[in-house]
Amino acid sequence: MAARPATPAMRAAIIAIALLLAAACAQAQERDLVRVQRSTVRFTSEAPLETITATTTEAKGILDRSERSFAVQIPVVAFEGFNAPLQREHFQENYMVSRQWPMATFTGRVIEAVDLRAPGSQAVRAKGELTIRGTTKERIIPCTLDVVDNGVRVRSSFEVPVADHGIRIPRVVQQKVSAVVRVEVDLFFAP
Amino acid sequence: MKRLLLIAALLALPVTLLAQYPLVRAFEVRPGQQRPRVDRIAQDSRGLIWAASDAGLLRTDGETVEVMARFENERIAAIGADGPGVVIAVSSGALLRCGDARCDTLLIDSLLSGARVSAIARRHDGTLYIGTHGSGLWCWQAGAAQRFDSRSGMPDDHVNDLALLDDGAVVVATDQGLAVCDGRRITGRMGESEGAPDNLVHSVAVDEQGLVWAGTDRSGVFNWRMGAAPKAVAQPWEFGAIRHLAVGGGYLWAATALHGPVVVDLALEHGTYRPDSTLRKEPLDLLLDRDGAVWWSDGTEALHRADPAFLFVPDHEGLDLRGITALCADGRQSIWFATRSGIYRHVAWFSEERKVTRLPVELDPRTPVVSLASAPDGTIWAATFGAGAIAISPDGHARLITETDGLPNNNVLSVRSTKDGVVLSTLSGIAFVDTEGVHAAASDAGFAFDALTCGASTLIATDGKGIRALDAGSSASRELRTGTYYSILHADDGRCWAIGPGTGFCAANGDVACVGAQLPPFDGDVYALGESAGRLLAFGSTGVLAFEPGTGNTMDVTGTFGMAGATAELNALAKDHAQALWLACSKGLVRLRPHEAHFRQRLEAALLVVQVAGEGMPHAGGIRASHDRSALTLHFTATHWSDPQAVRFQYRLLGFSDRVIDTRDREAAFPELGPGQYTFQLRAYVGAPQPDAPWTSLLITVDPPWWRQPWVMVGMVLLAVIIAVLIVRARDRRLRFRDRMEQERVRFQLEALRSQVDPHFLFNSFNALVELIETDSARAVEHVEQLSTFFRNVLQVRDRERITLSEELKLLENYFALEQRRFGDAIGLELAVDEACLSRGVVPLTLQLLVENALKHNVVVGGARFLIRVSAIDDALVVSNAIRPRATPPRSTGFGLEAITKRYAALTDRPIIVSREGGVFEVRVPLIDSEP
Repeated sequence: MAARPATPAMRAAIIAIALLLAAACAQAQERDLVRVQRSTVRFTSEAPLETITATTTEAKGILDRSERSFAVQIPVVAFEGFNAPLQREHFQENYMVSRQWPMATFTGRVIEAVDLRAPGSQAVRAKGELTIRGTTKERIIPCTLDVVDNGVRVRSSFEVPVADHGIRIPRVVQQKVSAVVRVEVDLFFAP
Repeated sequence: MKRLLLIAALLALPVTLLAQYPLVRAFEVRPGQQRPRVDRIAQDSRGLIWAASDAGLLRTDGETVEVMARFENERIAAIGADGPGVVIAVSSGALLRCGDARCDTLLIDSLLSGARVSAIARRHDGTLYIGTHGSGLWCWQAGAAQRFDSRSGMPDDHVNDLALLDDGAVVVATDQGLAVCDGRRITGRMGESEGAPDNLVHSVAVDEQGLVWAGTDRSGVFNWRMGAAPKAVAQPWEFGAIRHLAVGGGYLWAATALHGPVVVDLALEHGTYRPDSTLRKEPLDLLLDRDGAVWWSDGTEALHRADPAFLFVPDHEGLDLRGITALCADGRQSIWFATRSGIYRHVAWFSEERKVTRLPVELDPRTPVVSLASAPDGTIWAATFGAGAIAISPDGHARLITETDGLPNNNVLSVRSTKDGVVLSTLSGIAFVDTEGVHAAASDAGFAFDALTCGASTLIATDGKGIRALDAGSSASRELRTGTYYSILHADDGRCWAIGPGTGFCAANGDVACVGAQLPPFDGDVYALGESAGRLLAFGSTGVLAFEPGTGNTMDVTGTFGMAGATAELNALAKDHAQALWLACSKGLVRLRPHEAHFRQRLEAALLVVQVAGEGMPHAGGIRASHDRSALTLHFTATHWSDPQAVRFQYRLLGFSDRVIDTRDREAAFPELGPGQYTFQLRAYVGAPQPDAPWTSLLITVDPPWWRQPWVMVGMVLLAVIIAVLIVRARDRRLRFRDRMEQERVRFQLEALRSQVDPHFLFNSFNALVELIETDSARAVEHVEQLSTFFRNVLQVRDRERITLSEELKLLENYFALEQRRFGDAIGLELAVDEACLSRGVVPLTLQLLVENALKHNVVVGGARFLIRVSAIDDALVVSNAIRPRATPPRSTGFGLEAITKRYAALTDRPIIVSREGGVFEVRVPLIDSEP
């Protein structure tokens, strides 16, 4: 996989996540870290008059298989799709203010005591702090874990009420932008 | 005769719609115009509610809202009750204890920062348990914190909730199950591996029996006792994650995100319901208060308080329960009710699953069912107004009984069960119906509203003919009380009571006066009489009045019961198998299960803040004020959450006035109090004053001003004594001085006299006289005259304090003339006296004495002429002469100069100066004012 030129913000965020994870795992005897190798993150806003979808494949993340703790970050600026370029601009500038908060993060742990090395499929809950647009909310997100030979595939679909993260939708576009956005995540972690 | 259809099978109406809610009262916590968003709440030991909001820490007693603390850029992460105050954790990592006056920091730790504290619980001994998100459980006691995390046996470091057990241990809800910690170590765990349905426990509560209840993320509730297996309840659970939990009084309350508060009646197998749909907002905190009611906050300024003792069911399965005309309960867990459209049966509780059953009886809307009764044999009797009575047997057979069957009148007002049948009240007396048939009786009672057996007789409540008793075996009734009565009740104590419009509670048999006739609801329409928690309850359109027959106390409980404005049909009241009262009214079907707390009339009054001259002071153990700053303002409160506006206070300030002030105000102010001891006494009540209730007292001491302090007063007396002593002594000294002066004067006069009668002087004078007589008799006469003038003058001035210098000079002239007879021209007198000095004063005979001294001490005869100079310049009189000492000093008393000096000392500060310089003897005597 070709190395992508990382922006300073991304690099800073990666370092922050690494530090966070390092602190969380400081007590762990052995760390068994796997990283996101492939990712797809899609959000869908289904409003009466319009459905908006955008996708990115640039999510980064790390998962400690022994501690079952994880940190995932999604560069908001990397979302592509939308129904029009102007829509994307509005998304970046008016709603997400991605210049100020370029990253959405979710850090936490898997509640269920599952073995992330034993192959199999599991439905688990990931409890952690979801930070979007600089606002943090504790969330419990149900996920499906598929442990395969060389890694862990994590799939999840959850809803984010935009009001939870300080995003206000003007009355004029309430028929076009949903107050609750569905987010679908598909991450593959491997060493 | 109308026959009704007989249908064996009972038809069910399968509509799942339940609107049922406990009595919920909303309290707005708005300091001023703000609309704070409240998330966490706590109740202190006095019953006050503390709310953590974005506007700071708020406190309310239902009437007032106070901001107890404000925080800049910080939020309150958790709040826990702590005696008369609360302990709060703020997001900066500080733990604060807040009381009536202020907040004190207990602990600051960076590990607690970032809103990581999730729960605080205070053990009875003051130990604080602090649950954190990420750093486990903290146990804070005596200023030191001990941490329990996954390394010390905790299942997880994420603590979601805490609940105290009776023995002081704490149950900890974590992401990986429950743990029990006794403050020293982890003593128990309960997770999925021990049989719990879910590891992720959001909330935990402990009930009155010490049973632990846990609210999980996806598996509902389970309960657990240490050492036992967990038991899931209210399954299947359809309401999602339980964020908060409260258990008490047989109810479990769960705060859910999607469905709002969900209530589980634990006495029932499927007793789950959700309160009113308007309250579906996610509760952010849940609190079980001391009276068994549940509070929750939902992120707005409103706090909700739900009292499960009063449950309202306005409609059920599409059936409007606000139009019920009659109601009864059987002993088999069912209630029966009639609307204009039909007769229905339902189990005596409402839940999501329970169905209502309509009886297959067709009713004519023009002749509504006005009363229902369940006979001992299981038959349900429905009394209609106009169409007789319907008996519906347990197998579904309906039988109509009308005038043709012997009923005195088809207009039936009431049906009541007796031990072997029912008694029907009609417009023309009553009728008993049993297995043998219909027996009309007491036609003299006329219009009967209600009738029931009480002891050996049947009591009838009539319209205008009073309460009448029909004895067994007789057909005529006798009047027990006059008036109109609607309802009769056979109370649990065996007595029978009746109520009617304006009557009050009347003992049916007895001459005692009725109670409460002037109180609501007797001022309006009364519609039902019931009994619960040892009290008689009269329901009416203007309120609900409770009456305790044992004590005679009455209490208006309209607000407490949430029945303001409710109207109802007559006697639509029943008591079910579980002793709950059911009332059908315009608010729907109401289940009433009041308990002692609802009838509490004595409240615990609490003093909050005492201000002395406008400044708040701590008042534990009494108040001390100074005399000039003794204006007192006392703020107090008492909580009665079911009706805060009904709280009244009585207070008095003993030492100021013994008069008891009765008020609704929550503050008392006293003007400047004089020095002394005062006792402020306070008590609170609801309903009627409680004359023998204990007072809450506060001792107030107003210090006297400093000049009235004992030590100052002793000092003043001492000072007065000292001054008196000094005055007396000074006076004494003055008297003695005057005495001495008198002595001196007398001695001076004596000396002067003596010098005048000095033998030498006389001898010389007489010698000169003898000589003159012989030579010049005319001068002799003159000499004798001079001599007599001299003595007369001396006698005249002797007693005077002072004379003028001119007078003194005259005396001196006279004297010197006499001395010149003796010494001839050998002596001379040189006078140089300023005119201005002539009117000044001198001590009499001063000059004479000084001149005499000069003549006595010097050699006068022989040699040059002996000149004595007398001059008076400015302030001094100077007598000087050349010193010509005698070979043999004269015999002298030495008294002359000394006497002059002492006399002058009494009159002037200026000294007498004697000098012997340059062979000149000079005496300088000060001139004094001629008049004193």
